[in-house]
Amino acid sequence: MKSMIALEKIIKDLEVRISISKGQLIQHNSGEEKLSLLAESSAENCIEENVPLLDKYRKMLQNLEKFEKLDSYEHRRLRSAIERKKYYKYNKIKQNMKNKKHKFRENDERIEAAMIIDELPEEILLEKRELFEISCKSMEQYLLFDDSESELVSIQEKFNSLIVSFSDENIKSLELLNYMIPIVIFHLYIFLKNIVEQNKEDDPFEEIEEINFFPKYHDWWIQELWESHIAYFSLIKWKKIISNNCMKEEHKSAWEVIFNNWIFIKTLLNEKSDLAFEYQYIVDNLIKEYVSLESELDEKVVEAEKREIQSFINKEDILALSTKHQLITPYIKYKNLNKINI
Amino acid sequence: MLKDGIIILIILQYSKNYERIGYCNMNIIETLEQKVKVSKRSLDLAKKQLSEHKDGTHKLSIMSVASTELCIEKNLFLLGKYTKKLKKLKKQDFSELEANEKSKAFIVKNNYFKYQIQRIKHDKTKTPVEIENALSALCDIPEEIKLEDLDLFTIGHKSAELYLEIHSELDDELIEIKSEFLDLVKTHFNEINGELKLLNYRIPIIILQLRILVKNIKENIDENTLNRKKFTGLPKFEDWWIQELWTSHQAYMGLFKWKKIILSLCITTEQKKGFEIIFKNWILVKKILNVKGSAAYFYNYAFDKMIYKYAELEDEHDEKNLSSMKNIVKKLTENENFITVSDNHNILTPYMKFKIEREIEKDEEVL
Repeated sequence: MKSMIALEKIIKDLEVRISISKGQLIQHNSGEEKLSLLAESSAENCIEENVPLLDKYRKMLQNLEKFEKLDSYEHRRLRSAIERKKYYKYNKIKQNMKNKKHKFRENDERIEAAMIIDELPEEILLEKRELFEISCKSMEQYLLFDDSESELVSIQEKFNSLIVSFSDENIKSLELLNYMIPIVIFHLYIFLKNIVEQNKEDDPFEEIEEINFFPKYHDWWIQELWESHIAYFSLIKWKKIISNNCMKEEHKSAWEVIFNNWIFIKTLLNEKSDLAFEYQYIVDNLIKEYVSLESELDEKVVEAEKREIQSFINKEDILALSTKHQLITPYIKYKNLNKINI
Repeated sequence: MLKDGIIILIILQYSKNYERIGYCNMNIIETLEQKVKVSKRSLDLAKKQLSEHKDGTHKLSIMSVASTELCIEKNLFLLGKYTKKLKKLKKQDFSELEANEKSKAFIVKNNYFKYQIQRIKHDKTKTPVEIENALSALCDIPEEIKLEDLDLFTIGHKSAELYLEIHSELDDELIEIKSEFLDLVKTHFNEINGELKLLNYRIPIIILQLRILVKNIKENIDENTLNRKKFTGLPKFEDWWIQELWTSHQAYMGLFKWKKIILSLCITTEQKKGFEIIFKNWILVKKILNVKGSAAYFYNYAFDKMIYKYAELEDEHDEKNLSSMKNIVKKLTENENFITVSDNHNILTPYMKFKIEREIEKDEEVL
């Protein structure tokens, strides 16, 4: 019932108004901050008018509560939507101050509301065991997991303990990511472990540089992916380097999956801009802790690498297609075959 | 017309009567007693003034004497009238009177709520938007709860201010899409594709967001009479672009240009920004599903089917069209200058700044 949330807000507003007036009168009476005659009577009037209103609305809400609980799933989502929308709007105003060409129409409100819908509380219930099974089954064709359940549990617990301390305006509830992130970190951890073990098998005398396996990535590649071609080429180059470091085909395939999941998480968080900085920072730090995968923070290095990418692009065969290129992909064939069945 | 006018008058009359009749009936005896008291007090005062004038203690002007006499006369009459009425009332059976009053109050109250919708609709002091909001609040609350017009206007106004209607509608739509999507995929999960269940929460959101955006673009085009361009739907995407993304640059180019075409259909900044986000979400999910291969075909299909149903987005199946588009993409790729960055390009992103600051703070803490 939407009206309950509206009433709740009306009550909160009245409480604030009354409390301000009471505070003013207390300060006035104690001599701390004297009010003018007009201000004094205005404060008194405010209390006189709003206290009965407050009682009335509280009773109204109590009556409505007989029909629907205030902490129902719907109400929690609505309450959260109001809060998220407030921060979204605030963030947008900040961005628009930089971009003066901003156009807005009244029906854009609906788009705004739709864009924050993934930040609302969602009830995803996954048991630890289920999460582990999901993580292993999806990758066991490429990686060896052995007895690593405790690692996943420890990653998940660490991650959960870090995100609970966020302030209200920060994004703390991207439920899907709360599960996906520990899985991706876990996959990265197992992937690296597998590679190190494989290298040991291949050459028992060579020292493996586990720490430097992943070259540093740059934040602007993610920020400008699908906007700047150089961002795309930089990411593809970075992805290729890691892929080339994998000796086995299975590891290359595992990297393909992990890369797509990682870029998914990074892009999603990046789109939330400063509201998700804290969240993203925690994710980055955990990844750094487990597999030493991190971004380059030295601006000079970032700039220099950006200049170097030009020679990479020049060397690339821009028109080359995949060796398995097909206009009618296997999936399209499946679709054509199953049109009626699903 | 005249009949309508009379009905409205009657309806509006109820709003006034609801309070006035109730008030009079409940307090009539008290009011009469009060009036008797006032008349007595005025009479006593006037008599006192007149006697003081006669015994010379306090002389009055001729005018004042006349006015005092008039006052005595008037109050004597009123006192008689009120006392008589009071006596008559007190003789009556109170329980009957009370029951009568209650039933009258009940009728008035009943009528007040019976005609509430019409009364709100015809309230000349409110704007059409305020009226719409109040009516929406009235629809929202259970029938058993009766709220006065003023409260409905207050709640309606607050709901609109918080966009509760929009949030609630979107949530309802999301539930509908989600349940339909889950129905399509629920029987196809197995050990290998179990992790796709996590996307059950993301896919309905992407479908809903694109649906809202397309609706919004259509509305804007319809409203804009100067814009004669008709919205014929979103351009089709091609599955091989997703299949070969991160492998063939032409695939990237196909997607990049396709995205640009849709962006050109967006009029407002909000629409453009919205599509940028939806596109990234969509392509990321599609690529995750594509990498998963045949184990995710059923899931990918359900996603495509739903996004077509709700947002009219579909892929190209026709081989001829695919082929001709391939040639176009090839030409576009050949001619594209890839050594470019966006207008807002900045290697020092806001997030990178945040990270650097955090690292400095950390170092300081260590020191």
